[in-house]
Amino acid sequence: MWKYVKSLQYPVNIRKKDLQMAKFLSTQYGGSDGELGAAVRYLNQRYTMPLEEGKALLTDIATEELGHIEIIQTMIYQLLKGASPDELKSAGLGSHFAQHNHSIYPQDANGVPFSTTGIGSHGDPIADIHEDMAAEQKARATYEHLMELTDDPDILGPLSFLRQREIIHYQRFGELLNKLYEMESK
Amino acid sequence: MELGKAYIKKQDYEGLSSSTESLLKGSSFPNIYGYFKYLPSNFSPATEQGKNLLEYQKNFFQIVDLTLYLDLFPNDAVAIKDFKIVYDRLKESQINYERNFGPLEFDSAFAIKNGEWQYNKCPWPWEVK
Repeated sequence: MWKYVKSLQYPVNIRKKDLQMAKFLSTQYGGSDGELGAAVRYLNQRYTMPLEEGKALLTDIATEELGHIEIIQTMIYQLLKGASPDELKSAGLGSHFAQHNHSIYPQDANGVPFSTTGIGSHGDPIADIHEDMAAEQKARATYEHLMELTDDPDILGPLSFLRQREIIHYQRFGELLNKLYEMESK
Repeated sequence: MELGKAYIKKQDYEGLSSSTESLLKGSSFPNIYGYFKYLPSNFSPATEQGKNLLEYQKNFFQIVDLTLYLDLFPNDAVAIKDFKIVYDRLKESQINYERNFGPLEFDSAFAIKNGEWQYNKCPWPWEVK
């Protein structure tokens, strides 16, 4: 069960419309290394995780990722707000406008809809945690690419926060991996 | 150490950064942070509501970060002590915010005021400035 808190995990208040960045940021919502995939990946792996430490960690990191979906959604919403159809068309978002107007949609930066093919769940805790550590690194790299595409501090702040969370999650998954090896050797 | 395995060094628990620094950096721990391109020097909420919410967000963030750590190391007495301190601050900032700006959760003590449901009121999180 989940309970909603009426607060973003990190404040987002983007004052300047930027349609290009809205398009690029989409990848961290509905792309293969995005937050939606991350949340679903960890939620699926919980059931076959043998250690209680791991069940807790997968649940709580997945929950945090749900909060990150909300941060990215908010950023895309604010970046698109008030854009005219012509402006959207010039930014390569004419097809987005045709299908979704100013709404957000779980897709990658090229408009490819969210796919579950990037979600690893192998029922083998060692393989699953390696998958998760790789996922955190891929997301970190993507956040760095996104940060290189803008100089707006209103966008860079939340992105630098989200990038750092990938590093923390990587560390935690790594510590869980050590515990899984300890369990195996007993 | 056996071959054919990956090893990550356990984080030594060295206490918490300030709650502001923690949220700015995205890490509550002084010994895990990696700079890339930009780090904001401070937050600049545009409204009283945003300012009040920020206090709650800072405390909530440290609780989230400590939770992930304690999930793995539930017997770390220093981290447990820190959790209790931050938890008290979190609850205080929550009541402070909710008293002035309405409930953060649907089952909050502030969900109903003067016989009216308050939880559905704007601004929602993506509208707070």
